[in-house]
Amino acid sequence: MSETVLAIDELTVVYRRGHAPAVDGVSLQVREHGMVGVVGESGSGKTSIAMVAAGLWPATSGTVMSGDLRITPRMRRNERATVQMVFQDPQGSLDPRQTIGSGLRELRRLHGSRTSWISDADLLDRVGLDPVLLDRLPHQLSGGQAQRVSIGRALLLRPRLLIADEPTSALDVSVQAQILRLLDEIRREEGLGILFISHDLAIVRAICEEVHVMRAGKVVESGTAEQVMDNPTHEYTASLLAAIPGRERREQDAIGRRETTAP
Amino acid sequence: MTAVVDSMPRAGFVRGRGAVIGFGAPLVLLLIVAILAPLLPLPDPNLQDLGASLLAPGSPGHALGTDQLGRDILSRLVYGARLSLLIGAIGMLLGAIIGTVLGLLAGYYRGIVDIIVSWLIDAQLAIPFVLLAIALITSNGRSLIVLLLVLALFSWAQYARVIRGETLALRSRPFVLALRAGGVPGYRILLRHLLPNQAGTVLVLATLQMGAVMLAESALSFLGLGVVSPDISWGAMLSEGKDQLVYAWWIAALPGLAILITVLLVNLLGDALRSVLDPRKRRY
Amino acid sequence: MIKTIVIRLLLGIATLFLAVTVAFIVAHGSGNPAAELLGASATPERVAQLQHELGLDRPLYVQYFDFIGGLLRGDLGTSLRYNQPNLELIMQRIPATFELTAVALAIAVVVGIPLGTLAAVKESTWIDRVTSAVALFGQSVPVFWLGMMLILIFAVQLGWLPAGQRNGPLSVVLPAVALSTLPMAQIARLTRSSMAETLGEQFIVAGRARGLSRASIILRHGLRNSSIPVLTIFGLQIGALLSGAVTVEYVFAWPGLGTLATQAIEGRDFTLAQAVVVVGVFVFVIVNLIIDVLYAVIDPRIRRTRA
Repeated sequence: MSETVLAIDELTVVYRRGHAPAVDGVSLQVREHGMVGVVGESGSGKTSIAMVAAGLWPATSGTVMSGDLRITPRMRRNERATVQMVFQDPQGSLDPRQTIGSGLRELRRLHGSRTSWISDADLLDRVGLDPVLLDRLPHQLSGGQAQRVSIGRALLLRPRLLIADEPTSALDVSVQAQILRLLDEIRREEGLGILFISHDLAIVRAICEEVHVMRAGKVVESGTAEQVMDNPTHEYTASLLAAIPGRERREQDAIGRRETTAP
Repeated sequence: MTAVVDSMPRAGFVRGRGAVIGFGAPLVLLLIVAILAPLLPLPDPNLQDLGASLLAPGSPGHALGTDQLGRDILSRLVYGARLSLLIGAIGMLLGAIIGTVLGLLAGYYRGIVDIIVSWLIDAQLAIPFVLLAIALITSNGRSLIVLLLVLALFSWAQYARVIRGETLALRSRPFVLALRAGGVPGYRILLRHLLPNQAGTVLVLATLQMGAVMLAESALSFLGLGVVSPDISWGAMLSEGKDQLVYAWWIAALPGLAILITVLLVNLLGDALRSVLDPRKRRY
Repeated sequence: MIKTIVIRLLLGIATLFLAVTVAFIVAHGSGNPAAELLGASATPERVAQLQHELGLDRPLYVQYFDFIGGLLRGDLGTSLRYNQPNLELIMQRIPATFELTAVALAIAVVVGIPLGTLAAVKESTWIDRVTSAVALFGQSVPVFWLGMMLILIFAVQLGWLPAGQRNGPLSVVLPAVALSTLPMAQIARLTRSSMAETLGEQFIVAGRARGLSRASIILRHGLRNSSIPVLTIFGLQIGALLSGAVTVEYVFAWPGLGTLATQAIEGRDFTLAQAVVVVGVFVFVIVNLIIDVLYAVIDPRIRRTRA
């Protein structure tokens, strides 16, 4: 029985008093080695969940735990290391004036022995980058490379939980697959759990075991990827699925084939 | 006499690295001349020679004439540059430090700190600085410290306003969030990440404020609130020239011209720096 | 809309409060005004005596409440030099300063806005460059020195205009022109940049397509949209304008608040100095409040440009 690395219980997030909550009574869990997806359109509350789960925004009510640790914006530094986040904007996630190596050094200085398990060069290698990039500035990297660096920075701190907020949305389709593969690899090999936020059902289906569909702050549907994709029970999920480009064509192809093969 | 920093694109001749050198070089030259003043073949700027008073420029031995006490104008201009530039620089620096720190704090921590700082900025902008200087000096007496304090008070609000705005914008950028997630403490984020990313802005502001502070010092010295005899600054020379205006125009005209040209160069330098450091014309 | 006005009013009062407190601290609460007044040769006993007479030896908060109470009653203290109520002295001088600043602002607007508009319409031509040069000059020149040069040229050499004092309508010309240079420079630049931005907007292009003449577009839309940033600048400029007025009045012997302030310097008259600061702040806050109200009025009807 693997450990729960993220347990969100009845989370509510209200940004402005009197306004509708951004997150309304959401509960979900992520286990070690697990990959849980949260899908929804913009405004559904998925990014708010990510921010709270990463300890970057306070919950209005409800609890967010990682094992015994309570995740809040007031966590101590060594507690913070256990929950890391990767963002949507690869270039924007790095200080434009700091070289990659300098950024890693800064983290090492702050976290000490926790980061001594791997060298800079090996770390970059681990995320599929050439160590020569250590002396580069973020703008000299491609989007995919920058995102790998962000993943590497997160990995350096040996987190139990990784929040990935639309990590591939700003990348080329060809690069997306590589990043997704990398994320899948590290969750299997490093043993951490990943909460994967996205608006793209197709991607979530491809790599997540469990999926939660969100709308207007609430979870409208949950289940395994297959359950949710192939047999959606909620009409909203169905409409999201229908919006996937290419799916319509596939459906029509399937329908067409049935007609032509019918006796 | 506040210098409002604006973002209007300039006519082509003030853009680019060439412009920075073009405007910076004469200023550096002026600085060198001012520093080396005692080594130059100039008469004592405070040496009075009543027999040679009120000589017009071009008189033998006094290239730019003499004032009512027979003191050589050229020499006084060169020596006056020292205090004018020095006070301008220090006043600007003080204002820059205070304003940048407060702007960073207000923009990053927000909440009560922001409310207080914003309130202070508004109140500061509401007080005409000459009047404030008058009030300060009537009760504290005149001294270099008081002068520098007034000048710092005059300029800090400009920095604070701009830096606060930029910090507010930067703090919600992913890299700041990533740093927070990584456990980097607030003060370190401010000092090592936010400030360096605004260094260009601060530099441009500082250059433009230098001109404004120099103008402010000249006004205060003109009114007798700043530099006074035996110290020499261009503004102080102007107050001496005021009463001689009709018969000895050069005593007032020349120092004022010096101020005009210097501040002009400084402002042009600031615009050129802005065009080099902000190719994408940031709005303030 | 009422709500915004009330909020603005409260903010204005808070700012006013803070600013007069600063004025109090600076004039009353810091340094040793009594010693300054008597000069370096005064004995410590004499200084202490004067301090007592002026109430300066009371605890600071007592003096402060006295000060605020006086303000609310309209009492700005008594001038130490003239032995008259400060408010009276100030009210005598205000018309002159008002005349000067009003004319200066009028010049700044009447010259600055058309100049900025022309520069925006004819972007990158010689008109644009000249406007840039004028604006640059306005922000680099010591205003009082300019005043002196104007006296030299127009009063002394050419004899066209009077050199100072306040007698006759022509006497306001030179000082007002000098004082107007900085606000004119800022207004011209701001008008140019906001006009250039507006002219590039889609709805202008659409208007052209519908056959509206360029001039009417500029006048109607361009000016209306530029008025907000110019209005903002107006408010911020009052402080600088008052500062400039002090030196300009000194140069031209103009009998306004400025010369009163300089007399306060000579006499080390700290109560008068304090009173002048309070009035200056008051004027600033009032003007900005009026502008804020004007915003609320103008704003819903036109598109808000970035101010």
